[in-house]
Amino acid sequence: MGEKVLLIDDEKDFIETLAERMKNRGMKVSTSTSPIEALKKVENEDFDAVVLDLMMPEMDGIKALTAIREKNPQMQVILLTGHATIEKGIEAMKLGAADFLEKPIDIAKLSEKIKTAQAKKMILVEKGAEEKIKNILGGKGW
Amino acid sequence: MVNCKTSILIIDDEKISLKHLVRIFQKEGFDATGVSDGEKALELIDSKSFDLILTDLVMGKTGGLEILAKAKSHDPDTEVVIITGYGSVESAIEATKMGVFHYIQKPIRPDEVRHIAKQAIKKRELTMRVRELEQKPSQNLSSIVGNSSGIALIKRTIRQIENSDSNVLITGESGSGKELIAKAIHTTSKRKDKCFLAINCASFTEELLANELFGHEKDAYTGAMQTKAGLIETADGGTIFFDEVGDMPISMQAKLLRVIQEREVIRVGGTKSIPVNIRVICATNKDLKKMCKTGTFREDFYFRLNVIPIHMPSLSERKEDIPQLAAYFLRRYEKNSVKKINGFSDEVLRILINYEYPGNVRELENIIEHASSMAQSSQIELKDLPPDLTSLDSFTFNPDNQNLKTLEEMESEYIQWVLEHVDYKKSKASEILGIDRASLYRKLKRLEK
Repeated sequence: MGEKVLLIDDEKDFIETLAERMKNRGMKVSTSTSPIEALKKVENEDFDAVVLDLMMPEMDGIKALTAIREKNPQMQVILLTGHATIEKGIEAMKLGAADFLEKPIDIAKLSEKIKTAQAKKMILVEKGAEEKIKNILGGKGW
Repeated sequence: MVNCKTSILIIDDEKISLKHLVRIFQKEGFDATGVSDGEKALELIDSKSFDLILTDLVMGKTGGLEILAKAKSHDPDTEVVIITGYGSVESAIEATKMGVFHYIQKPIRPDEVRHIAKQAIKKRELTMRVRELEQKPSQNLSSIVGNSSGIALIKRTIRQIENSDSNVLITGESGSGKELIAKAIHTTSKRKDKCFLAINCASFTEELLANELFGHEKDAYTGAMQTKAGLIETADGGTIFFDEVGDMPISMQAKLLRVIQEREVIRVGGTKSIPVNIRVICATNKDLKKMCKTGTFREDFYFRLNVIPIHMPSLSERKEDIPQLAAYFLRRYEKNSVKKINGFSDEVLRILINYEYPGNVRELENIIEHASSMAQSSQIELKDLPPDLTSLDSFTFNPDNQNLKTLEEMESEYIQWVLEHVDYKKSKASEILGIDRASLYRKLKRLEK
């Protein structure tokens, strides 16, 4: 089954190539060069994973990450960066990023991380459903 | 955990830096143990639980990540801080994913390490504290939402009967929250650590109810292969809540009256009476007094139950609580929803307050659940409400209103309203209005004049 992924990066060429390569691997890919526009997409559509560049002129990747998680706490966000520092990486992970990857991108590594993210999301969704049922069972006497 | 000395395990293959770290924490008054090799550390972790572990990342055979994994599997609440001279983004990410509290790069500054360690310990203490509190049932009455006079009176009554074992009879319409009150009475009483058993009398046949409540002896009837204790017996020391007690068969009432009066049960087919200590709370939406007169409810049973009467007002009797209740349910259902919803639009709130709620709080809860799953923005709008509720709005007649409308005004307003609702699609509107399109056009033309 194809994973549904949203790519967010301000470099148009980079994102198009990456999207093409991921589509070749059977994923359903949406792209966006503007984090603000991407936020709207996240609000209206559901994705298995969001791949997000850390450095963008319009909005800091960390800020975008917080905004996405606020809108949709189950969303799995993988951060990409050309110039990673340990501090940034830890900050992102603590803010709830699913993973962190350095450019240049190893496509095999990325798709593996997307698969893990999707699995994690499914568990979260299932858990949510389970809790709902538990609430119903616990809420009614017999 | 707060009282005993906080235990810290420090692992570093560099002897000098290990000694230095151990000294820092011993000075702070912690129980700090230093180990210089990974294998020994793993053994130590296996044998006892540490509050905090500080470990080097790159060591001989066993590295920091292995120690982290071991520590977390032994006790998930143990906090781990990794200290390293060879920091890389990859190892830092890997460690954070595994749940490391912090990742410090060498050379270390004593102040920084001390600060981070204290934060980690604080976090652990908080987690433990939260767990402790979660295990105890809530002892306050915050589960009862509302400040109206009716609710305030109920809260006061519950406080007053905290130390009492008297039976309680809760009356109120269906869906007004009788079980919630019963639970609150249980959790504020001295029986709070014992079980709370809710039984819906309407959902059992008489034989089944008797069997479940009193249990049976072996061979009491065909198929009774072994002795079974009844629910009343297992609830010994706790509270039993009989919901819809008005639907209990009259013969059952006699049996239960005996239990309440004599404080003992006899199993079906048994001869021995077993003493039980239970508190009985009953609830009903029926008028038991009237039922006593018509003979469908035993009067002696009624008087036994009605020691402390509590009347739960219907939601339309406490409209001032609606905004607070709506917000309470919204917070609950927002958790299940992927979106973040902040509140209601003024219009929605007005409709919610004006609605009559034949199904009481339960109906309000369902409305909010519906709305929160339909909501598309951060605020609940009119279109998110169940359709029958919004259509009701146009039919709310307010008798206090001085300028009452003529039929024609009413008609034109309704046509406008329907049109707005279907995005001005006239064919659809005429379908809803039950007139053909030509008539609709004619009426619209007349309205324009």
